[in-house]
Amino acid sequence: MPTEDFPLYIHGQGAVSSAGIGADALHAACAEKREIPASSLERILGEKTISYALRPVDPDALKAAMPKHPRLRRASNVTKFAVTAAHEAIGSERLEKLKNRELNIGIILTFLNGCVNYSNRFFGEVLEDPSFASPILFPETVFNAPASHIATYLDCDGPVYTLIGDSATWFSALTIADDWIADGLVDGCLILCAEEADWLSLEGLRLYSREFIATEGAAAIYVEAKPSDISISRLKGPFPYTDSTGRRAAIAEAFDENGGALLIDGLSSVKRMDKDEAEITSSFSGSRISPAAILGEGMGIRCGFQTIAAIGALRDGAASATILASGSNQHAFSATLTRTSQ
Amino acid sequence: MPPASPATPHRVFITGMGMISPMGNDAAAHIAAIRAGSTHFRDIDFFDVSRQRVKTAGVADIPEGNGKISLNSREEKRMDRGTRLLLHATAQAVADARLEKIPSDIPFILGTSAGAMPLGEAYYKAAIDPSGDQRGQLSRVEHYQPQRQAGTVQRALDFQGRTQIISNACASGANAIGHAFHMIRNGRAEIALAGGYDALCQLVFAGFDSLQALAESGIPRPFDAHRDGLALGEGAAMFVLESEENMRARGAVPIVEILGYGMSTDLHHLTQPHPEGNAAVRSMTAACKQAGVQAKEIQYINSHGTGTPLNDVAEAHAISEWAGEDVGKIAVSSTKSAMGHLLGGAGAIESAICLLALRHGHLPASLNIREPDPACRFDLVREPRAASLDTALTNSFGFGGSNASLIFRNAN
Repeated sequence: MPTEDFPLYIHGQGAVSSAGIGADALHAACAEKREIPASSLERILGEKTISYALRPVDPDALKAAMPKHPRLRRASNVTKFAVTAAHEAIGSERLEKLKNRELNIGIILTFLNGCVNYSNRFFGEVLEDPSFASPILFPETVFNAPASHIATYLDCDGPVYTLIGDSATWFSALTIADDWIADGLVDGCLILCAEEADWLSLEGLRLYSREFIATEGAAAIYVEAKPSDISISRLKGPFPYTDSTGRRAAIAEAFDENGGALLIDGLSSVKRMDKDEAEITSSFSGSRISPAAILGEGMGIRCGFQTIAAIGALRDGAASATILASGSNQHAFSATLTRTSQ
Repeated sequence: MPPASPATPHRVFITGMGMISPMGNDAAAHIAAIRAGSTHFRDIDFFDVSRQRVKTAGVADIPEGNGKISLNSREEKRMDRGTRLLLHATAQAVADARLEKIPSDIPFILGTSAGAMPLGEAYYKAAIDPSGDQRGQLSRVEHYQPQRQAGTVQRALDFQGRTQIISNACASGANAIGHAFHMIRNGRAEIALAGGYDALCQLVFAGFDSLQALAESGIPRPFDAHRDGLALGEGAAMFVLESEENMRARGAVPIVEILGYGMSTDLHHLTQPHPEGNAAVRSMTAACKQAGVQAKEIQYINSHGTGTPLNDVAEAHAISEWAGEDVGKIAVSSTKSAMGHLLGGAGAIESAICLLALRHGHLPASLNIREPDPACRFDLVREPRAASLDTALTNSFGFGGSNASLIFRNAN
């Protein structure tokens, strides 16, 4: 299986999470290992009220931080999370260059669930009476609607992909970004992942384990081949699998015990679901950060949050950090981030 | 294989193709339908359309049985419509390429817009049932995910390479082929399986109906002056792509060479193209630049040509702008007029149509036209006809402004 020595350099980061708006809020929660308090999302089914444990994004803080653009007025939460993280990762200087066509970037947005809230609403309307189903909602249910809004906000008319897959697809996106940059197609690449909470996806998550505390939000990094203070110095994978036995073997292959003194793992505090990764990494003696245990189980955003946590650890003084991306039903990766002398 | 620098890219060939669409279940059925100029729309009977404005679509006849596959009967029974389409096309592509054994690490690059949405719909309906019966829900939520569809096909055919699933709406299939082309061209793979698929489903059908984007008669008329919308369809097309070195080493026979892949993003509107088709011009120009060909060398364009008022005029303007004074020499048609719009599968099946046109020297027609739109300055093919073809281009433009163009050259 391929091990790629990049390096690709991280020039910007952004996050929207249950810890707050911005990558710094996520860093701080992870550095302090401060578990975000859970609340609940409820729905009524017949005469029952069903409650789902959730660590949500603060809607008021999001509203204050979100960039303003006509395209975003009717956009779904998942778009709002993603565009806010994108805005932070790109930064005002690069945004100006994009508007002036002085910078050519690609965008890759990765999803597991996608635009679940509007899909829920739209399909509910269809079942009720299709002649009243909203033509405004439907386009926002399409997987690539958020990427389209982000591209418009950033004035990016180049390559834009929406990739579907499990949480490790974040690293699959990184391999595509590396290709686009190496091929001279773009100067840099914005990689994003996003999830929004909805009873539909939370109920799906609960079918795997009732102990899960879900979360939502987005993560973004902006990468170039030009050196910066943090490099993605190594990417090991993908290690694909199509069943649970294969998953365990794939995680074992991806895990590099000698990868460094700090492991950013994918453990969520749900023992049954963590079993394979916990056993495979049990001999690791260095420090660990488990963003999913702190922020909540983010499904498609887990690896993005791991990466933002790793960047924070490096900025706090760690020389390197290894991220283990176990995915859930597709592939595993590991990545090493290194502080450079820049 | 040594990595290629952008200055010395590997040549990339298609050595196998598989397809299923409303036109039929293999290449022979498709070329017969193209030659006959037949349309393939009928009533939908596998989800409720009783309260929709439109009740027809291009429906694929999926054969019973899946040939020799490595799935148990339970897994086989559990497959949703989209997975069955994908499996059919993938197995056929592998057989067509005469691959004795699929390389276990072959990249599997897919485009889809709706994935296994019928399973998502079934999950939703069960979840809102006041009985609260959750039997089967875990299976539905797991197998609804497109990567599980891909995994099922991989297990069925015994391979396990990296899977990348691009969901760029109606451009997804073209993006997947283009992405696999780039991987091989730049030395990151020697061989790949790529293509696109989508099955008809209630949510998407109702969505296009809510937008009033479906032709009320059920018959789309791309490039007609009085066109009134598209028809949806379903299907899949898959391809075996190989580097020249890999192809020659195993003695494979090429169908076409892929020369270029262009992509661009239209920022005009979420669901409407820029009226002048400026992003489409960029996509076609980028594909030509990579291919090292000029617009006048393209003899046939399988257009995106949905049949909606806004799409077709924008694409017509774009082709005129891109081709310049040579526009009248370029044959253009939309095969969506015969089979409908396959969404995530459209770019793939329309690539297959291009390959058949090149291989058999026969131009497919834009059917159902009464009066061509005056924006059509190209040679609009209204009846199928024989032609000596060397180079073809296919356009795919999606919701969200995802544009992709691919250029193929006859390898024989």
